[in-house]
Amino acid sequence: MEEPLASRRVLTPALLLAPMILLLVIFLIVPTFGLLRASFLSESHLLDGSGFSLKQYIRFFSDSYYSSVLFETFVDGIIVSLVCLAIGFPTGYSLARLSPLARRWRIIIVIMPLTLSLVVIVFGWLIILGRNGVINALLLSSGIASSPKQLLFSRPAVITVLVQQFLPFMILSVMSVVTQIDPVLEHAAANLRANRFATFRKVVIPLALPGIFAGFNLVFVLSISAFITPRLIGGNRVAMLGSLIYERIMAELNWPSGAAMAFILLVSGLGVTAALNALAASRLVTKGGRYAR
Amino acid sequence: MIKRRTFLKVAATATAGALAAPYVHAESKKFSGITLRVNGYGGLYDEALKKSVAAPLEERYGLKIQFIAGTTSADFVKLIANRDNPPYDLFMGDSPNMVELTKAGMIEEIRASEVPNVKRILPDFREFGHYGVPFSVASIIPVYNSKYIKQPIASYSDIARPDLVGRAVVMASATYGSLLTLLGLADENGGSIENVEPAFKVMSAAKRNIVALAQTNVAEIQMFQNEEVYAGIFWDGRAHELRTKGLPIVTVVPPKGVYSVTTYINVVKGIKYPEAAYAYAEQLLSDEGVLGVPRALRYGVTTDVTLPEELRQDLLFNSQARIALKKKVDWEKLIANRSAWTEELNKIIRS
Repeated sequence: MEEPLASRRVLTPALLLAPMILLLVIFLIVPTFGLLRASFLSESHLLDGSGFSLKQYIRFFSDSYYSSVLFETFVDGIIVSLVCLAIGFPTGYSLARLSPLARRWRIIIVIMPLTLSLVVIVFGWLIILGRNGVINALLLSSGIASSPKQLLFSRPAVITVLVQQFLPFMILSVMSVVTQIDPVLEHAAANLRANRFATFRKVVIPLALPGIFAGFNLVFVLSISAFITPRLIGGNRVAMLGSLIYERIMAELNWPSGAAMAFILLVSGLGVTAALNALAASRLVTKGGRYAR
Repeated sequence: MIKRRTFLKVAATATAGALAAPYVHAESKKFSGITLRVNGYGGLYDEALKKSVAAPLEERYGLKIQFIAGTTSADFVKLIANRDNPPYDLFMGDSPNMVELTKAGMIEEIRASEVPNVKRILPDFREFGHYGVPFSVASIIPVYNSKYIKQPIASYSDIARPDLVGRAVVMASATYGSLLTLLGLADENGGSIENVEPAFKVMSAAKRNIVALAQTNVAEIQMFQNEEVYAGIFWDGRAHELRTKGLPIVTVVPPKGVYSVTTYINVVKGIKYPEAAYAYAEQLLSDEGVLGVPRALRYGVTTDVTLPEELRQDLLFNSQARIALKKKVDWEKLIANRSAWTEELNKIIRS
């Protein structure tokens, strides 16, 4: 009787996972290999592809312009993730501490921006940040500025719009973890004469770390691969690798170069997130060990 | 009382009429049940073609036309990725796209034997031999808002004028609009398609003026409307669109020449109903068809059609003298240089 039960234990998860794995293989893994192959083509056009060459990669790394774009992309990704964390953590925490009924409508408000088309959002921001937009009107009416400021087509504008787009991912990640932290722990810390800041720093933050890292990872990955926002809000003056890849593939039909850039972004992005995860794991293990002692 | 002879005549005519009716109907609605798929440019452009080409064809032949709006480069990728089962019967593309289309071997040659109106196309507008039917021409020209710019702009190179600091826009680096701008700048400053270095020098000088590179026509329109910019280099038809929105936009005809792209319709190889596709091209080149886009967007025409006076005044190429200003472009060379030029322009603007 033991054997069928054991084999069922193995088979059931495999069967449950099968549709997702099949989907990923067909629509992600296979096309990814196609893209990888394209990145090793020597020619610079979709129609001329043949052979095997490292030309596209060599060209990328030998030109300081591309390295600087890659670096700026990562810096922007980190800034967006940190700003999202700064805004998203208090929001996620406060939502988690509400009753499910009170939380429901607030969550709908949080996720509402995700239901809108990105292009609509970006064009909305173009109007808000324009010379005749709301922000400039406020600056002028409050006397902070004497003439309309050029807010669009700059790095701060791109970062602001990216934060607005990806903030819900941070809020939801933090909230989902904080809801699992028993409030009794915070009360216990208070009983032990820990002030609110100490409770927050020594109890809430360590226990919320998985949510913080998950949110950070999500926002970071989404930010470094963004291309519509940098193109439209940055007006080509803000360099991010996603928009260069889009330009290469869609406008120039230079698939080999675009594919190589996409892979460089993928590998380096995975590298950064792996490092973050390793850091998170080590922090959690250390904390776990400390608490175990 | 009807005579026997008269009765026989009437009866014979009625019978013949009844028997012939299906054939007459079949001839007049000979493409009934057929739907041709065309890659569309979206918005007003497709609306104009629906009104001036698709609607008359449906009324006359029962032929239905479906415009599938998208970006031409993405549509082209779809086309070559599905050679055996093309997603479009007719492919609309500009001069640079024609290089890719002919190279990919995906379009049919079109001759006057298939599309008689081809004979009406003006000299120099058919840039690719028997490939493609040109029906519209769009020019990239300097434009400015006369409310703010008091000293008129006179050439492409004026984009670098010191009084335009932080007030100018050009099209995004990989677009045809931007590549043609570079050609215009090179031409005005002693360069050519072989040597665009002079154009890059002007762009470096203009860097402080250029607020942004407009990614789309809509984005550039919005920049002018929101008064983010007062001057720029833009499509002639879009400048007209800005005027219709109430902006005092002046279009400039550069004296050394104008750089333009011609828009073509192509019959895709291996489609089911080539005859229907030729009927589309024939209607497109008719007076009614070829005036559709200029009426809506004020882009130029490519045939000997007589321009109505209200249109003639608004079009850039409205006389032989103006048409003579249209510069010939070696599109193959332009495509070959596209990546390098785009990269250089990006470096200049982002440096």
